[in-house]
Amino acid sequence: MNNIKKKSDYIILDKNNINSLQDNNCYIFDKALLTDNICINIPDGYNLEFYLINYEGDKLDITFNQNNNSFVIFSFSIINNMKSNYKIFNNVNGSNNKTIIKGRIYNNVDADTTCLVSGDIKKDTVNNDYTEDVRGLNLYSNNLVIKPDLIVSTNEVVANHMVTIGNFEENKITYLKEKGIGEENVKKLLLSNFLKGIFPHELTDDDND
Amino acid sequence: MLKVNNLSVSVNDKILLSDFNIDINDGEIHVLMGPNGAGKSTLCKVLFNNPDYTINSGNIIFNNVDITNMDPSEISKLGMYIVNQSPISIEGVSNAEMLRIALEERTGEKVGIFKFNKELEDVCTKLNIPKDFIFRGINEGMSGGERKKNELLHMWILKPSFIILDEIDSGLDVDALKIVANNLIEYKKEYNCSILIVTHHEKLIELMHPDYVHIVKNGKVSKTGDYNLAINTLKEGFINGTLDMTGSISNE
Repeated sequence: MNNIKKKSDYIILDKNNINSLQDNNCYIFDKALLTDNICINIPDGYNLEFYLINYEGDKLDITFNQNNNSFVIFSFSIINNMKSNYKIFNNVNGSNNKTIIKGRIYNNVDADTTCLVSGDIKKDTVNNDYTEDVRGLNLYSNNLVIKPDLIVSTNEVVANHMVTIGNFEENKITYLKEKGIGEENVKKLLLSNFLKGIFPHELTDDDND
Repeated sequence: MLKVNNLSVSVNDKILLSDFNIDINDGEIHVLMGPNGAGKSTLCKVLFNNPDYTINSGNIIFNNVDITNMDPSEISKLGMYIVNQSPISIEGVSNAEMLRIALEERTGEKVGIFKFNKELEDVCTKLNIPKDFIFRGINEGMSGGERKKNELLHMWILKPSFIILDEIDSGLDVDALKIVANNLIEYKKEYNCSILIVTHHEKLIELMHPDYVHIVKNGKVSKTGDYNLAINTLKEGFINGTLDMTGSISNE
């Protein structure tokens, strides 16, 4: 993938360029694009990264279609404050593809979240490598459901999926408090770290603005 | 500076400290020694009101303020600092980020990044650690010895007046131990802080040369002396000396 150093090197993904993707690039979703269901067709042989950072909408429906010899990374973070339903599909229709889906979902005080992350690796495909890793942070014990749904119809594949839902670790809270950071800032710091951990440094480090 | 008065502490109904007393004045170095399970590390954690422990009676006074039930963040802001036996790592939260927030909470003012980074770099040089520690996650990917030095990096920036070192020698090789001890002595000279050290390490005791040594047994101080008490105890051990090896307290 590209040796990107600055935020300005990333391309905003919007309705004008969603059907004319450029190889070896990193796209950041224009959140206005996400009001509709969207489908992203990955051209054969392309290496692409997609980032959705701190999305706060109540609906998400994204489908990726990969055919042959492509590499896709999709990293998303969601801060949910309401009743929301998110769906992410990835269809692997051909062979020799690599896919990494990484998500972080923060269920805020009034949130009620359902998130389906679904991968479908089709029959008669070979040599695909597919990973889903989605983690939820549920501080208020509200409803947070993350469904990892992986349909594998071939034997020649490496596929794995992982979902965790939890709270902050008490020993980390205690450690940071012992450094003189109050509870509110401790939680802000750990939340920020949770959400930004899956993105490249330059996308989340304010000092580089 | 610090007065622990008749402190009794338990965890899950097991009594760990019973009627524990200690006085530490400004600029003094105290060492706690004692068999395993005697309550030394418990005391360190309780001084910071660690939520895992229940204080049944007694109190802790720090600079004339009762900190017995105070939030750990407020205790830290009063000038107390702890280096635990096994400092945890927090991946993704950098040393610089954590220290900047801690300083801003202390002062209520934004930290000037240029001066702050320069200070961090100077401390890295003092501690003989790479400057990239500054932007690494807290103790992330660091060996036991590196973690201890990293904790001292935090200490120099936060500038506490009272330092608790719970077996800081563990994980340190001979050279690292000298660097850490010399660094602590340098810090003490500069800020006239008090230091409470839990250790059985002869070299560290020799390098730090404590003013007072306390032997902890059955959850309380059973004997207090000077540097020579530590040396004699290290020679004779807890079996042949005045103490047996049983440090724990029965609930009876």
